[in-house]
Amino acid sequence: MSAWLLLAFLTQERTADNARCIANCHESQADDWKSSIHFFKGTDCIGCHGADTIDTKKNKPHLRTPEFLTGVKAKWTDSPNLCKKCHQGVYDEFARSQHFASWEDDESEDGKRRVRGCLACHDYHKTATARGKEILASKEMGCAKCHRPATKQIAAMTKYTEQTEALERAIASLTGALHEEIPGISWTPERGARETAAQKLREFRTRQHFADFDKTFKELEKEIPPAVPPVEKALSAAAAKKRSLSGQKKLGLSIFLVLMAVTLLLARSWCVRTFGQH
Amino acid sequence: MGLRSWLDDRLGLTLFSQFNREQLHKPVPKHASNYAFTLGTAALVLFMSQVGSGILLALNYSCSLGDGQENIPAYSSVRNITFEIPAGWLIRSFHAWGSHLMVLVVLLHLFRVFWYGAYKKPRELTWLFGCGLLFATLTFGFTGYLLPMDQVSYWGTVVATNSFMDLPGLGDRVGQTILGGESVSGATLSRFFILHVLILPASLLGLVALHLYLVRRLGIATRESVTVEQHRGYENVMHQEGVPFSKHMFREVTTVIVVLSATVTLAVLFPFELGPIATPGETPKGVKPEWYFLPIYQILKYFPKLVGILLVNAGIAVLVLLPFLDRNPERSPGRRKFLMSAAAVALLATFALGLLGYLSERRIGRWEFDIRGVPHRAAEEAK
Repeated sequence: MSAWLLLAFLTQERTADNARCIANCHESQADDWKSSIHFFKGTDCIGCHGADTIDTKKNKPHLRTPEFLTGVKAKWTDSPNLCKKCHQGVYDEFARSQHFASWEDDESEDGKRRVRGCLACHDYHKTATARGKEILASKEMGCAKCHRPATKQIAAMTKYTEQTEALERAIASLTGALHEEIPGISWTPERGARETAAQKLREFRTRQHFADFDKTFKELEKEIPPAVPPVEKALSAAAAKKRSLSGQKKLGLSIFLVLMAVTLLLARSWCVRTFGQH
Repeated sequence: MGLRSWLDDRLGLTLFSQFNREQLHKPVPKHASNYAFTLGTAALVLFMSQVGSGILLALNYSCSLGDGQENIPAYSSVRNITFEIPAGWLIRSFHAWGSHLMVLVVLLHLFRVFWYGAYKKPRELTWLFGCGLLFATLTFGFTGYLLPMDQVSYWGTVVATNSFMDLPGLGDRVGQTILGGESVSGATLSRFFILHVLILPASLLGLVALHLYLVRRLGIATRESVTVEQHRGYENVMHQEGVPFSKHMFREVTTVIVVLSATVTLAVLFPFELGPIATPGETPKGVKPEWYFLPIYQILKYFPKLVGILLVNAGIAVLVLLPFLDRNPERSPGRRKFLMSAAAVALLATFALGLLGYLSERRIGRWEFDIRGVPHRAAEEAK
């Protein structure tokens, strides 16, 4: 019986879920996570930390062991190895960058300026789609950590940021316009334009991780602006479709009701002629 | 030889014209020459418009659940009709609004017949066929509701069919026969579709034919009591007090035009949208049936299931058997005070139940209505 109970205990699924993590200890991390891109995309605590996060023996929460971060056989600061589980394309670009080459383990905290892998620009838990402006402005992390103002790197990054944000704003406007589903209007072409632009934006962001200021950023500077007009065109087309349908409705309904009124008058005159006044 | 006489030789057009003339000049009671007596025609015209728009929709509808996962062909086809096919949205909205108006008009027609006591002898069968038409119309609404396979239609059907499962004795068997299995599935969709486009239209046409035949054979009830009408003889009453049906024609035409105009106007101004795709694992909040089933839906919440179902069935039985239960020969509402009072109470209760059903699980301003329709002060939003 005891053996059976032990077996039952050992074989039960050891799961952790967001609610448990948050309720037990991690409210502040949860607050950060709720403002993150991961939250909106549905990547939860377990998505990064794995299910085996509870040291039940000692009733002690997860230790800072390599196993803590799912399947990562490295120290906890080895964020690229964790993030590449989902962001392989970004990792590939980052891996051939100077940033990656100069990246060192930051655990010694000896005051030297070092880039801490992905966490140099993307805060953990708050993990956001890296906002160029924030990265540029931040003193704690991001560009300013290593690059002085008025360098070519900062200028290139500033330009890149302005251009991608313009594209992002255009995509957001189009998404907002297409959010409302209106019977009678097909958004298929506009959705196609938005998807193409979003795909391009993802590609630009991925390539940016190579961060070669003499090559990549110059290419991106030329490639990003032409991606905006098709989105703006789709936005105008969407507005035109709404106006057109509204006009067609008004005109069509008016004509129909006038025809009905005329039919009624004709019917009245026929009834009076055929059956006499009643 | 002209075309008319050529056709007449073969089709007997003269007989047809003669029949039409007779019908047009057949006398109807004077009181029947008002708009309340055009509701039957309105219902018939709405049914015909439903057939027309339904055929157009069926040309593009796909009655399949596919693998029942992410892509449901039925849902995709309705999506296609609503957003891609030219004027598809208009036809779908016309069909949907037409179905609501048809139920409304049939109910008003029934109320008019009740008010004038027209169900009494010798028109009991006309009433029975009329009840059959009402149930066929409601079943049309019930079966058509599932076809788009969006969240609301799917879950509305799940909730409604679960009620059949709760019937004592054969409940499970009845439920499974309706569903074609244990739950709403591809078999359910096929069954509902076949009922909606084949069996119900054929049944409804047959019932309409019988109903109309009886209306024309027995004539529209006079305002006299059953005894007086019998004593004086219907033909004599009509001969002395009736007016030719032709005098009533313009009202019928007006009603047809108003009903069609109202349906098109509603369809254009308030087109029917399409909700998210049906997801069996995710029950949306506040699933409700169509407005005409709300009183039944609500009454089942206040009583144990068996009692609720028995109450509903008892109500339906009283309605159907009314001509046989109501032995009072009077037709005038003033001389049927007990029945009119009982009907007023029943009508008010039905309205109240419908309203509670509408309000239940809904938030209006600061008030949140629970499942029984009881209002509670809503909890403040998270600060």
